[in-house]
Amino acid sequence: MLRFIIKRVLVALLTLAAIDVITFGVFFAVPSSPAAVMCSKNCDEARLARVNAALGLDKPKLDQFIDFNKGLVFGRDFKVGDKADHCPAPCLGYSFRTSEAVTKVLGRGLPITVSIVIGAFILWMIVGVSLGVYSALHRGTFADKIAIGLSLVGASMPVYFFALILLGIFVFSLKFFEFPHFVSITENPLLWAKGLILPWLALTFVQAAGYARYSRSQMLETLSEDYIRTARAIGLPKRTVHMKHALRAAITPVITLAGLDLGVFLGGVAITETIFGMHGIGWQSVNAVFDLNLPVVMGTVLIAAFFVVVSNTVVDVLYAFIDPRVKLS
Amino acid sequence: MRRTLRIATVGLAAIGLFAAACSKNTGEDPGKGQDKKLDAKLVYVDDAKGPAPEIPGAKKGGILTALGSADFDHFFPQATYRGDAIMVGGQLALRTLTNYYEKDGKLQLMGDIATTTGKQEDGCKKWTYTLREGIKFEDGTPVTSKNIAQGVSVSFEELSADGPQYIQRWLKGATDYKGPWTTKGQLAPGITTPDDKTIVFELSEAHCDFPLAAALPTTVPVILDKMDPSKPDSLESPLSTGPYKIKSYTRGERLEFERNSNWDAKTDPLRHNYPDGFVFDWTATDPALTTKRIVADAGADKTAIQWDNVPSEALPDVEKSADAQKRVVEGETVFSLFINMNTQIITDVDIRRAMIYATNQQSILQIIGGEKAGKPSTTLVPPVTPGHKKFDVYKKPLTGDVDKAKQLLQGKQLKPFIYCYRAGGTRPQTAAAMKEAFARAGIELVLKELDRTTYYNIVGKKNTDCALIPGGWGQDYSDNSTYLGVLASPEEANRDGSNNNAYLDVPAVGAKLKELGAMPDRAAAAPLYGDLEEQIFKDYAPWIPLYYDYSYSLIGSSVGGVFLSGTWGSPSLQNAYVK
Repeated sequence: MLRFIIKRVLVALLTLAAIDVITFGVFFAVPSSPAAVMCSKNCDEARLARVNAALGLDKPKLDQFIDFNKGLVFGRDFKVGDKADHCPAPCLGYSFRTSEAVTKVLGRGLPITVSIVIGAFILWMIVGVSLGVYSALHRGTFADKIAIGLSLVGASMPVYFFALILLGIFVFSLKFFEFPHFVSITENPLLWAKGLILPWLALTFVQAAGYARYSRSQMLETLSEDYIRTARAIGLPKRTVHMKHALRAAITPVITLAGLDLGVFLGGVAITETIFGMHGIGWQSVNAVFDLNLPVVMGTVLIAAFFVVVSNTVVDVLYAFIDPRVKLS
Repeated sequence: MRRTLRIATVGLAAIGLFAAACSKNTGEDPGKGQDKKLDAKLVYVDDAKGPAPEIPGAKKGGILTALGSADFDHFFPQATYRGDAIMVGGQLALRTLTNYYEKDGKLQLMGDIATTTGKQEDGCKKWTYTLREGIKFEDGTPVTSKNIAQGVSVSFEELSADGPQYIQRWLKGATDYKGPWTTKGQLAPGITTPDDKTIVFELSEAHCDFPLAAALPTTVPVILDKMDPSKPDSLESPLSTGPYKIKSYTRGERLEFERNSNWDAKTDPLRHNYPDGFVFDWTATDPALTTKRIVADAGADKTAIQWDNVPSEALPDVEKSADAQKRVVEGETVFSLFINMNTQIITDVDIRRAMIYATNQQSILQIIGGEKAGKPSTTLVPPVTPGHKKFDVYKKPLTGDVDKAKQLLQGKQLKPFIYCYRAGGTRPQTAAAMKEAFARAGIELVLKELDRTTYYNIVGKKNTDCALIPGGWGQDYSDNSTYLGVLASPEEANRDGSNNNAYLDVPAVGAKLKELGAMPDRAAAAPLYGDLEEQIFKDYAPWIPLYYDYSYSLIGSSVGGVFLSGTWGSPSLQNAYVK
């Protein structure tokens, strides 16, 4: 097992290294000069050259790549005038537009994205899986049809549409909530939750729908297995059959999917963040693209990749624990 | 001055992209329906004393929140050039040698840190200021003339390159000066501080508009020893000398002001401190949703100010709410939009005249969002700027006069002209509309879209191959010397990074501009700028007027004293209070 884990971690590290190389390549493939973005409207050639030198962009590409990766491990200095602004490790570069380390920019966005995603994730898992299991256990009933119908609506509705409906009803018409506003959980947990209710609901409705449909089909498949019939035949209580034997088997692939989704979502939920005015990683990445702020684009890509790779690895390892059929080779 | 980024994002795809919105256009004539027109006349007040006159009905307390979609580029005063950032800094925290007070639609310039607007000698080549007693930084340190000298010196640094560049260019012997950090503590030449209360500026040429340039944040006092240029983001939270100081600032997210206990109202003739604080919330990413919030007027949004213009898609929300209509803050701004015709390429003045006739202003106005975003123009300089003259040299319907254009073009060999524009916003649509309008008269345009990082380099050189270049300009201060004085200047035409993108390089015009710029009586100079502009239109036709920018935003029901500042094109916080 230990060998398997080490192997998976090494593969993850290699994937991250490949992404590092590709994003760095994209950085230079884009026909835009970071120094020109930073240089003011009154920019002249001499000033452009100074900005390029200050940012280390006048060095050969390979040296720049080495500097970037050194910065990831040891941190690095960016020269401003005759002084240097230190960017501590893991230094993901320097935001030319706002004169600060990219890690500082992402440090502002990450708590917001994590708050939105983790809260919504818990909700959509509870709602989605409960609805799916309930539907499967009451297959063909009116309640099942309602649940299927609802999940079909949710699965086919884009998050921006549902988010705007939520805002229209609860904020602009009923005035039941104020417009969502992010407050740090350490500052005030109650206001934190209050500000996040609508983004949570928006993501939950859309995501739970998919999970309800998936858990329902998994549960139905499991219920038709021989061992469930056997369990029923030997007279085990219905509750034990459903909850202990059927659910446990049905939930495994759902958890796998959830792990992967969580990784993707932690990389940023741009549309939800934008509608609710929360500047998380997703918003930052979209904004950085429009702003030609390439170091921040690189940073958001790397962090999103990090989450996806980590969640993939964790799921792989967990799966090996949960499902003995998975080969450890 | 660059156009303030009071923007509207179009849906989700335009996040962070500067764009204007669209709606219907009524096609009304300029001058009509401008119910809140600002009187352009500027008055110098030399006996202003603190405290500022009380605002009837205003009361103390509460927090006002501005909801905007894009943070100021800078709040480091010497690097600030965006109109709203200069206004907010100046009104709340960052006092300058002189400053503006807008009263009943009239603009007054008065001594702010200084006692008067300045004493000139040697034909406007030497300016002396005496500082008011009792002005302190937020940490209690008294403000001296040396702090002003340090502030002006810092404006020479590369970190300040985004800021206004007037006093730096004017100071005697300062051509090669690079700033106190680069020169290890040396202050700018041309400035002397005989004592703590006196500062003298010596200029290489006569500049009678110096008191107006002194109102720009170039003259914000700083304590050099407390600034760390190796941490540029720390410079964005400057020390206050005004009624409020920065409580916290997260760039791109939120800027909070709280009361400054070291501010004394008796030293300040133009500021109040009614609210307990101000918050600038830059997470209101979608202006259409912000409009809906303020129309709904619930909870904390009652004390909110929409910092972006109401986008056209949200106009119906305002129109169907009688209550919201009472809370509109609107008016003309200092910006005017036009198209430069490169006189070095389109050398035949009749072709340029034909281009003016061929232009369809109606279609451009529809693209930018109709009457709430702009009023059709017939001049270059907008009504807000002193010296604006209302004239219409090339009379035509808003949709253009194609016959007249064709008549002017008869017998001429036309080649295709390159129309260069910056990517993003509504600029591509405007370019397409121009191409379509010109095609009616038989003029072919080749559209060339340029990236933001290369745009100014390409269009800013006299030998550019761009024949038509869209332009937008606003005065840097209330004097036509920063409008016509820049856009028609031969020196500007020959400078790299030029703003005279019509490349109008006429020595006679240059000489006249110099003569007007040196006139000590700026009120007398103003109408002469208008006459000159009309003459330029008649003789050279270098610009196609499109529209005067118009600002239209909303405030919550508990916001009092806020009006549209014609000077800055943003909701003024000068008299703001919470009802």
